[in-house]
Amino acid sequence: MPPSRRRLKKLVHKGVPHAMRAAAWFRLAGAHDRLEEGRYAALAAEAADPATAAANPFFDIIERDLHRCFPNHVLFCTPGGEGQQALREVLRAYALFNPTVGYCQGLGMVAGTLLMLLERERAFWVLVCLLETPCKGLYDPDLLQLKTDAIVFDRLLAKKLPRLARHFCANDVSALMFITQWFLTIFTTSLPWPSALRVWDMLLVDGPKAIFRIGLAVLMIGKRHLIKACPTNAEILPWILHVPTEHLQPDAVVFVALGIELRASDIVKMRLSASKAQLAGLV
Amino acid sequence: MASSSSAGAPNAKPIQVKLVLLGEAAVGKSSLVLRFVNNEFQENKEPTIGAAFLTQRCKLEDKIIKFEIWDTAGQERFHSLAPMYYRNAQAAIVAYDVTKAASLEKAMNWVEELKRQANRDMVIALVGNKLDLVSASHGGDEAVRKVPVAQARAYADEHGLLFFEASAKTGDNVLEVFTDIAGKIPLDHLLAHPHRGAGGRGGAGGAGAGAGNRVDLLRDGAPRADNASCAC
Repeated sequence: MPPSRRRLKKLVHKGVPHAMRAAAWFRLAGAHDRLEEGRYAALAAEAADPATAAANPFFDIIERDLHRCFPNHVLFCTPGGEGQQALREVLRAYALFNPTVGYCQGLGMVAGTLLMLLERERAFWVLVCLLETPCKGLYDPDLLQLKTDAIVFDRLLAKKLPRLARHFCANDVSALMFITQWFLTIFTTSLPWPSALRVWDMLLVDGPKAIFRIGLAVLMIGKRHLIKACPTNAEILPWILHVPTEHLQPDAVVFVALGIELRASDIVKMRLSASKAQLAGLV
Repeated sequence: MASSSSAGAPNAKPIQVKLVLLGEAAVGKSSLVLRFVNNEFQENKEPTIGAAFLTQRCKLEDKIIKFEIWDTAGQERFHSLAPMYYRNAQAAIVAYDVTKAASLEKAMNWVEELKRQANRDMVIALVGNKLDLVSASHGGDEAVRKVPVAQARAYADEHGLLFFEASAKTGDNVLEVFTDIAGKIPLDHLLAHPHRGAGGRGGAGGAGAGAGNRVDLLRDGAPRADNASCAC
């Protein structure tokens, strides 16, 4: 890794200043290279055509989620307001741009997060970059990547937090039961907002290993409570799915996450081995 | 309603009942649970991603039942995750929206899948939600109804399902859904064979397979755990 890249990573790990986040995310995601002039406007125009709307199977499901994405946020709380209109346009444009993924629940939160910082076209291209690189395959119709990642996460847990892994195993708690929410919303519905933003900062410089590290960090922080005070899955799962926010302030989560030794190449290897096991029907 | 317990002193330990909610996106699955668990309603409930997990106790005669509720995501894409949640469940609520005809079809598909793949003794309730939208007394309009009561009831009767029309918004019939389910589950059997019954885990697969028979399902009758769980 060139020293300049290493320095950039270090800076981003400390948190991108919020005033610079819009520009930084656009750049770090690679959207400045990916952006095709005029493409978004064309997709948006196509999406606004009633005939397209009637024919596209994803538009209906997008419509059902519009008023449910960040319903308490000032940008999105007004029915038919600017925020919801922007969200509709970006999600529809994406469904047309990538008909394989179309729309997957969770993307509303991802696009919504981007729209809080960026205008529609720029938000769209960051979304494209996210789904082409660090979150590649995660929203595919078969959810195969997500299922592979659940195996990887279970294995990482067994390695990094063996006692907690045994506790989960004894209670039939598996990673797929919680990483679905964590990963598909990129932690925007699971962490306090300032922490979620830091996760996105990390994701954009570190790639997918960032979300594994953050997930492990959350469990590391909760380990004692989960083992001592959560005897069955009836206590474990509600805790994991609604992690009490007081322990998850940005510096704490990121500090713990960065302390977890995990290389990008480990994730590549583990994903390969997990997907082989999956294909062989072993998992 | 279930017959009263024959086994000596009134039973203080809650009986665990695992329940799964299935149905098309945005029919109000999470809202039904929220009404049951917190007696609340949120107009714009965030979509469930993957599944949510909630617990609630209710009293049935001299027994305390603790529902462990898996509230699943409705989008078709998440369908393949559903078996993980219904595999060991004793009860299911299959929900549809009385104002959306296609949502009943989706519900029927779920019922058929459950009949094929879930516990044979599973108690299934078919619930038509958003009743408020079609009842004049709540400012609704019968004209927006797209699923006739008779049609859904006939289907439920034919397949041995409990049937309700309910409104998570007004609370109409929501508690009834859960208490009727509780009444139909063979609780005495669960009590007699908690290890087998409470989890219903007849050699279940999944991540925890092997560690399988979780014998401590009733352990949280202990005071410590009680603090952490729902208050009712």
